[in-house]
Amino acid sequence: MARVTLTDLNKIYPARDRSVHAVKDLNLTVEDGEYVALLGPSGCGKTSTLRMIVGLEGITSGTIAFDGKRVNELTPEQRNVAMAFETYALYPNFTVAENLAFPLEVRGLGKAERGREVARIAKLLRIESILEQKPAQLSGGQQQRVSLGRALIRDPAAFILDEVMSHLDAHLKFKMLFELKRIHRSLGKTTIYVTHDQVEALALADRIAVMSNAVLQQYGTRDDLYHRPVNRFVADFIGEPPTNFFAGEIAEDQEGVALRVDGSGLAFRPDASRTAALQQRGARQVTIGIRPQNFSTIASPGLQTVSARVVLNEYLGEQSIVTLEAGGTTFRALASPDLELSHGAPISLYYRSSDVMVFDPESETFIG
Amino acid sequence: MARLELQHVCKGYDRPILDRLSLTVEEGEFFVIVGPSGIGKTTLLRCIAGLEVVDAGRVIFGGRDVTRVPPYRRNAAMTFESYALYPHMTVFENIASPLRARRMDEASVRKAVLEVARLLRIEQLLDRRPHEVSGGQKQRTALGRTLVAKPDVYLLDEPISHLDAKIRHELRRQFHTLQELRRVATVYVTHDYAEALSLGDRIGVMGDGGLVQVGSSREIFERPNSIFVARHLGQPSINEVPCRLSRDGGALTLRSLEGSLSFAMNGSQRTILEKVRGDVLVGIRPQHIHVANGGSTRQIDNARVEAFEALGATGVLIAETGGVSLTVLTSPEENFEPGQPVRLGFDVEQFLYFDAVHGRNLKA
Repeated sequence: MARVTLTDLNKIYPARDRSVHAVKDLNLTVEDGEYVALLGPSGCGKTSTLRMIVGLEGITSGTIAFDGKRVNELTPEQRNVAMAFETYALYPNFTVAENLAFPLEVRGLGKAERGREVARIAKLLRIESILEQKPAQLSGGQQQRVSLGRALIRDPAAFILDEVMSHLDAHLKFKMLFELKRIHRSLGKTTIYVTHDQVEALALADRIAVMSNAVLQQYGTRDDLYHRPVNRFVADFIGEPPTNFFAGEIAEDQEGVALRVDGSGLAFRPDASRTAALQQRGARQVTIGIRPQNFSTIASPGLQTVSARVVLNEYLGEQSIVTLEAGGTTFRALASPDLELSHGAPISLYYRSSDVMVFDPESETFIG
Repeated sequence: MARLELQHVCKGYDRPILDRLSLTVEEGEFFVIVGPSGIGKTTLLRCIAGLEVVDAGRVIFGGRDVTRVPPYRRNAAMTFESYALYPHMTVFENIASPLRARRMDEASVRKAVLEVARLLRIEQLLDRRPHEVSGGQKQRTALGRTLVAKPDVYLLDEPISHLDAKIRHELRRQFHTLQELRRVATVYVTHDYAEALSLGDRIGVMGDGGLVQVGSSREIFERPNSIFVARHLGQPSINEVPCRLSRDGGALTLRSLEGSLSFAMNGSQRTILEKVRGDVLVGIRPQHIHVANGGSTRQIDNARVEAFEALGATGVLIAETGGVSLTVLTSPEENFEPGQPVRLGFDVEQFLYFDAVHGRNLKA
């Protein structure tokens, strides 16, 4: 069990012509028993961070501490963290049971104890029935479980999971999400999960650290990231289909403050609680953001309205993604799959003014 | 200009992969093949391209039998999931390669490459080599090379599956509007059902041996011909509740084999099941169960929350009622704690019924 603290952590890969600053001044605390996801696009520094925590990579500057104790100089074995990788790395000639028992054998545990541990982990992961099979006989999902089991069996201080689900089919992935969550609940171990897939991160983690360009952008719960993104990057990266952004300006009319989208008749109403802050700004230019799922096709009291025309209706089974056009600007909204919306059809969309996000167009930071 | 026809195509290795597969893709049609990984989708594409020799049957492009014609003379352009770019060539030269092979003049090559690069938003990368661009950019380069070729048939193997969500949505929209694709026959392979539903004029769901169902997005999602198809489309997966029909006097009721969930069958549902003998596998899509706050749905049961996850635009609730665990699609703004009681409303009219033995849709 461990609380993991990263303080002013930096990683620079030196190179002859141009060294790469892969992790910049990272400060992050993972509480004991917490499930934290490191999320970001490829090349954001999440894997370098992970490798430094595990001890597979040297630290350029800064401190990594487990339960307040500096571990910078410790080897991976001494740190006692268990890692499961994207590739399963199972021994092909060992049975599942032998693969699971291997880390224990290395540590010199007796046969009886190894058997007990294998049984315990197999039960937890629901792989009791395949213990005598070889990896080649297993499906991708089963191999993934065995690989996880081998990490879990060591009873480490913390678990590090690196893109463990990126090879799985969507259906399997979904099952594994709930499975991993269940396993985490029953073990209550500190877990750091690295992924580029926001759905995995949002579903699994207590808190999510969003990284981009070597810098931690935001560290918070799903709710924080969705409703209070610190900047445009986070608002853009989190959410699928992607957030709609518009360049616009703050204007005032009889009804109060409006956010007019440049070069179109489209305007959004910001939340009343934010109008004062917006009015006080010197600059009138803003970036407006609203998520596709925050549009509704059903009117109800208190909602604002925009009118648009349907450009494209993508039926996806559970929902439809509708691409719309209004005054020369296109944007997307989620709609019920039952609506038959044809190209060119006029449509009214409704939204809550509290779902309108406003960003500074220069610094891209969240205004309100 | 060509329509693509496959007639009784067979192909197998240690097991039959394509078993007398017949399919016609019309000129201008965007046909999507979706199915689990390893089922033979890529093999089918490779047979069309001529990279695999079919064991039996015929491949016909625009009325011309090309079964014995080598790949480079079929005029089909294919993207590969592995990109297969030339490492020593720039992005520009990679995209231009099919045109060079045809000895097109320099000015026309430039024009065609720039046009497609602009479309795929890789204009700024044209001077780089494949190892200097990201995976997503490689994928777009490979796609560019295919689009520029102006072939009779486009064969696209998972062309956008490795891209991040933002570019995937962007390219999906472009596939809808690309006029180039509307002139010829396109066969597009994906394991992602949402991509298939979004893009396909028609969709073929691939199972063991070939296409299990062919139809429009709505047909295959709302009227799957078998539990296999229903299972493959939709996320989270469709709930499957094995049930027994019981007839008490005039009433027709479905009772779950495990637990004590039951549904009274009325109206059209009753008509479908009236003549059915034996057990029924009931398929309930997660979006056809609601956490009931009003009384709008017909049947409401008390349930208990097992797990809940707020994902992106949706929330997924797993709740137990009458000893049966069900997945329910909710708003992500909800919050449910394990053990909490909830009331579930069922859209019984939307239920699907499958033969318990063969998995055939009883409504179809």
